[in-house]
Amino acid sequence: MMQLDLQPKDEKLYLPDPVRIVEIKDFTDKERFFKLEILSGKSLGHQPGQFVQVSVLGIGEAPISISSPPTKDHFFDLCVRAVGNVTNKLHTLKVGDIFHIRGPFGHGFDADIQQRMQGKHLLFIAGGIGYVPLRSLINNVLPEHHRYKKISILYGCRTPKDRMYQDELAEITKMGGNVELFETVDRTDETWKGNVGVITTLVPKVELDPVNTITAICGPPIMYKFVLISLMERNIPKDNIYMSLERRMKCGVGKCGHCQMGGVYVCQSGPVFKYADVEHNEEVF
Amino acid sequence: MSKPKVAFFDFACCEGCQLCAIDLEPEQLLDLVSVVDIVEFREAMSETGDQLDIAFVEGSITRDSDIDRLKKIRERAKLVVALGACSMIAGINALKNFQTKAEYTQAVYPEDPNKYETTTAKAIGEIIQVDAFIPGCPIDTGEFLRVTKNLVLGKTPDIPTYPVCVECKRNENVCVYEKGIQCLGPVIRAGCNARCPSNGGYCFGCRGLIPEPNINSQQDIMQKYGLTYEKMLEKFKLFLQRNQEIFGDDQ
Amino acid sequence: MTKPEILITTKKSILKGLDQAHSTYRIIALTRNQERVIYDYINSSDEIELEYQPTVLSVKKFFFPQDEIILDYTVEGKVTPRIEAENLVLFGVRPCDLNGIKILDEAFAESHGDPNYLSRREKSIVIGIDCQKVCDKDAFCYKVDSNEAKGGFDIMLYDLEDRYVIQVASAKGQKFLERYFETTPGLPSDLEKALAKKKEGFKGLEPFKNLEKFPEIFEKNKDHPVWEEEGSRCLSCGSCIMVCPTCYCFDVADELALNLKKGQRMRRWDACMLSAFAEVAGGENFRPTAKERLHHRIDRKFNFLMAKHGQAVCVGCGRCVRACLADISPKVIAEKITGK
Repeated sequence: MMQLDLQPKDEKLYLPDPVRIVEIKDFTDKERFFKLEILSGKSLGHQPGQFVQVSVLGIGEAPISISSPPTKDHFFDLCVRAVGNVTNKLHTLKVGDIFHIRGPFGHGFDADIQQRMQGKHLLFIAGGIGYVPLRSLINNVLPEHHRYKKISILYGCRTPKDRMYQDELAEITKMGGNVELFETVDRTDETWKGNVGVITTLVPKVELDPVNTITAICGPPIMYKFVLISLMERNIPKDNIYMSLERRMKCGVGKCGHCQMGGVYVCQSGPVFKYADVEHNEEVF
Repeated sequence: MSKPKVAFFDFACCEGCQLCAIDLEPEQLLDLVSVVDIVEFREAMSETGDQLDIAFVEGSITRDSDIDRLKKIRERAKLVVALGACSMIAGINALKNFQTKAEYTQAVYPEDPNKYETTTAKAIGEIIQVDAFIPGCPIDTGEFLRVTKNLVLGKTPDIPTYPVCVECKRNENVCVYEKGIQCLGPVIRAGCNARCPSNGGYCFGCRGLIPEPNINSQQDIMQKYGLTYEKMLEKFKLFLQRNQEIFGDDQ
Repeated sequence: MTKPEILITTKKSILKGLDQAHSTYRIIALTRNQERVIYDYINSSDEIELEYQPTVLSVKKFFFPQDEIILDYTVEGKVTPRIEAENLVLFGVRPCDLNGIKILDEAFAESHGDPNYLSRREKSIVIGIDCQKVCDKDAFCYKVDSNEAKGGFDIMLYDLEDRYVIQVASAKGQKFLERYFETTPGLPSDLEKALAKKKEGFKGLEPFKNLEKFPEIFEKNKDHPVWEEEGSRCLSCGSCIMVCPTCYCFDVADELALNLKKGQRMRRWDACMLSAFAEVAGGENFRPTAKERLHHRIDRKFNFLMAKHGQAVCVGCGRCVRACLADISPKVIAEKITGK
């Protein structure tokens, strides 16, 4: 029998904390970047890959991945796609407006995973808005890129217009050395001179030594299956593959049941999972 | 920010849903008009507005001449909301669709069957695009207020997609099937707080089917509980004539 | 540890004690309400039904209500948690529901302590009454080793005709007992007598042979034909979950007052059997068919959560069996997969 981790009641479990919008950038028609200040002055204290429950009073709550790397100050970033009530409302807010968050929640790229990554080739594979959760890790490792064998970032979008963080992508391209970025789009337009095709077409472009490569994937549900096939073709061990998964969440604290995937609560054990740990969980894909 | 302009329109109906919409306590009415501007209301006012933010449309479409008027409302309004069963699923007006035109005109106006223009009763969504709906015969006032608030806030109206059974159980009702009564609750959209089964009745289906009803299983159950196939269809007829899964394409 | 002492009380004294406690506690007991018997608030012990009859809902509703407000707020951003708990006595809770309480206690405390549920539990006294026979044809508590309470009670009563043998399980139970019930010392044979009667009542009713291995067995039977057979009849009506003493999934929704100046955040019972349960904002539904949803629900009872709680999370109360118009039963599913 597993040991249950029983905790005393937390009076503030469902109480959200206020944050103020200090900067807004439009990435695409649907995706908007928010830089936020925690009004309490406390640092968010998150791991890369964790999420917060964003709360718009009167509208509701929605889980949103944190897109900035861990910091000591009381600022953090979110990138929000307008797809539901809460996210649509967020898009109507302006600099200076206040909304609320709870968290950070979940299990991200924790210290152990980050330790495993030291000295290895890091392969990031992001589809569309899947870049956002990975960015919290990418921007954490890029400044210290010399500590890794290589950093490869594969990023696929539907169209060139859907590319987010374009300034940062340009910076990454300029870095050179042991940092490389491959991009592709599903459908091209006149502005685009790069690759066209699904993201799996980028995988063969990366030179890699499978056992010394650690992969982190995030994208739409359909993407995982195909990306995993292409990684298996490259002989990357299942132990070296991490995936960040999306599920519906209402509470963020392992109660409400919405995010349950087979036996695991994504909000507790995830959203970051090692492929080897969940490959037999039929509710993952 | 100016208040959203709201208007009410009606087609073939009893206007009961509009009455429900304004069946409010005085303070509720004040609160309501503090957030929306009611510019046209057949039941309460006579003023005519131009561009509308929300048009609530009650009633089903039973005359060809209604179609134009409905389309004009659509053109004027940012959001069209079907108000009540007649508008949303053609309601009991659609009972006549089980008969030929000759049969029902003869039955209603035996003296002069061609006196009034009338044809197959349809839901407004069969003619124009509908942005939201408030189910029920009649609608629930609380739900009307909730949907109105949601629309004002730019929120998708929170209309349940689950069936009446959920509310019946929450109310700890003894299942009406246990009393030998066949009920449509398992396939009908909740939101009425299981009003009929909680008050000695059974679900007639006025709020329409849930998005993914298991009609086969529902039919098996009704037959297991003693209904012949024909009797069972009778139960579905009252509100669900427009449903192709049960009654096939247009009669 | 010394053996707990055996105490005896008369049924009369218990009822009198409950009436006295009424000034400090709200009393909940099995009581008649129109055509049905339900757990409800009572004003006098005269209203209590001592003979158990199955209820539609379990006592879960008093700790985890159908709807509750968890936050109050103003549009200016003043937010206050709302945690409402009152002194409650739940009298006459049966082993199935007591095991349900034990499981919910663990679920709501695990990793993060849910303030609303746990506050209500802290302020409650649960008085169980042991069952001496199976209550109806749909109950199968004995199949899942749940006809005895493994926890969830402060005081347990064992029926001995006009008397009860008392077992106390908590300090708050002890305090309550001393304050409200007149007791006399009893003999070990008194408890044995009550338990012998239970044994007689459940004679021949055995648990599933391989109950302990259920998580393993269910894990291996993900493709068993039973999921399609039973799932195809499922109406996805959610009744089974509403009536379940161990289901605790919920939905959270915000509601503003009509003047849009203040509002509340509410949580309400939700159900993994309902079609929209696992749908995300983008429209992807991670459990789109009734078959998958039924499989998930039963896996919660006999696979994942059973492994976690160390006991079957289906307590065999039979409520879902009675509620299911399509005659889907966890017992039948378990029999088909694991054998009788």
